[in-house]
Amino acid sequence: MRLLLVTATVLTSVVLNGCGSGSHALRVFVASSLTEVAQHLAEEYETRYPNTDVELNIAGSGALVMQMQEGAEADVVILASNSHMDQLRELGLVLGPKGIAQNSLAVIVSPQLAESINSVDDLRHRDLQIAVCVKSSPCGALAFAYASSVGLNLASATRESNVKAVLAKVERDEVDVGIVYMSDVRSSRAQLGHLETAGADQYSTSYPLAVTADSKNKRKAQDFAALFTDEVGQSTLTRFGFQLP
Amino acid sequence: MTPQLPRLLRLAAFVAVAVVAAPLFSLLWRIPWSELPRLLSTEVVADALFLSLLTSLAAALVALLIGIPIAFQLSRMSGLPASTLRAVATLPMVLPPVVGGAALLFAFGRKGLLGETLDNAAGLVLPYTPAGVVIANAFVATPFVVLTIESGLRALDPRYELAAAALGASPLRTTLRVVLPMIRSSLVAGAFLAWARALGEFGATITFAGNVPGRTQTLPLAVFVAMEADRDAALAMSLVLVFVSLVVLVSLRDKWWPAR
Repeated sequence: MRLLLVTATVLTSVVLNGCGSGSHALRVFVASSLTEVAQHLAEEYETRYPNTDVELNIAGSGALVMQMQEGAEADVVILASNSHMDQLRELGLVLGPKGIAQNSLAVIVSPQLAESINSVDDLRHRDLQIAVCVKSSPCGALAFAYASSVGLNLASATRESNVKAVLAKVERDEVDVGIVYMSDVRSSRAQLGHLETAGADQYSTSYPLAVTADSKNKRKAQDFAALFTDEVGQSTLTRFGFQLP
Repeated sequence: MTPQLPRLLRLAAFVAVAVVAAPLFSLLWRIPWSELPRLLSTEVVADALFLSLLTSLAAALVALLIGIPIAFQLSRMSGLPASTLRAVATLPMVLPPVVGGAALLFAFGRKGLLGETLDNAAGLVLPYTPAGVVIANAFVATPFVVLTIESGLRALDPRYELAAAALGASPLRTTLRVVLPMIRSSLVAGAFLAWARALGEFGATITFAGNVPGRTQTLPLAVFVAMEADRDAALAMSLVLVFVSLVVLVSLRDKWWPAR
């Protein structure tokens, strides 16, 4: 019994204090599609400012907005659409967002079918399993708008919570077709097919970055934000397939 | 007279109950009560509700079909073999459901060990179909059947079976006519627990069966999606799940573990 109590006390204090790193870390909420860029620039930041750890919280923009609405503490937020950022701005949770990148849609085909599917017509006429993002996410909103413009039926498509989940399913042949971002096509190592003539690249989104209103590390947050607009940030963004604003 | 508990323990229990009940209370607090009828009748919610009902019932049936033989076998084993078999059979109960879903994907997915054969031989593809949801649900629900029925069997006095055998009943007849009726309450408890677990399944389902509205988007998945899209709808569906789970648990009372 005594052992139980001691263990509980020790565990509780460790968990609550988070091993002491929480207070100095910079917390950055990042949309899934920016995963590689954010990881890269977080490392860059830690090299430039060795005293600060960057904690990345990577999720779909919708999930990040929800977490912020429910009071999650962040210093920097980067989302994949202006309308998602507007929800935070209307609640007074962020300060003056700024666009850091652009991205457009891409229709991709699993490695197995990459050779045999070449056009949107193939998608319309064959019984294929499609994966898209949930409608409430930036990539989902774009994907549904695109699909209705080309007469592609998404009723039996599986809706994934973020774009990386869609990408992973296509890469592993678990679905036949996915609607993702150009940046995903560039960063993927799989032998994906890419329907370049599908017209999906007409559908694009911009990535707003904002420092949060009640960040306790505003200076550091500004430094981190500045990374995205300097040379290193811009070359990282373009390397991973994003366009600059 | 029941012996009294120490006052400190009673206080601790009071605090613990408050801690456990707080999230539930907070959920109920947020429910938009006057909007409920409208929210629960939208197409997405109605589809998810119907699909959940159908797949969870089917999954409970499958869980019974798989779980009962395992429970009988387990009840006659002891020592390391029993512990090992029990661990394997009940693993999905403690395994993160998403791991279970991944395991199912590697087995029955389009590229899976068995899935590819199934597809080639019979054109049967399980992911992204209601059948896939049933399999994911049954996978996580079966351990509840195994545990409740095994403990029911172990609590049974073997003399009934011996008497039936002595009177000339075959093992099959003994099992069907003597044993099964005597463990009826365990069977009912196992079935209901399996059903409730299946109804609440999320991780294995979304991993293995995907999230297709009307086909594989069960209530928990619809809640997950609606948390970002339509918070009130998410709350309304959560209420349904909380209500059903509570009804199952309250009505089972102490049947989970056989009464002393």
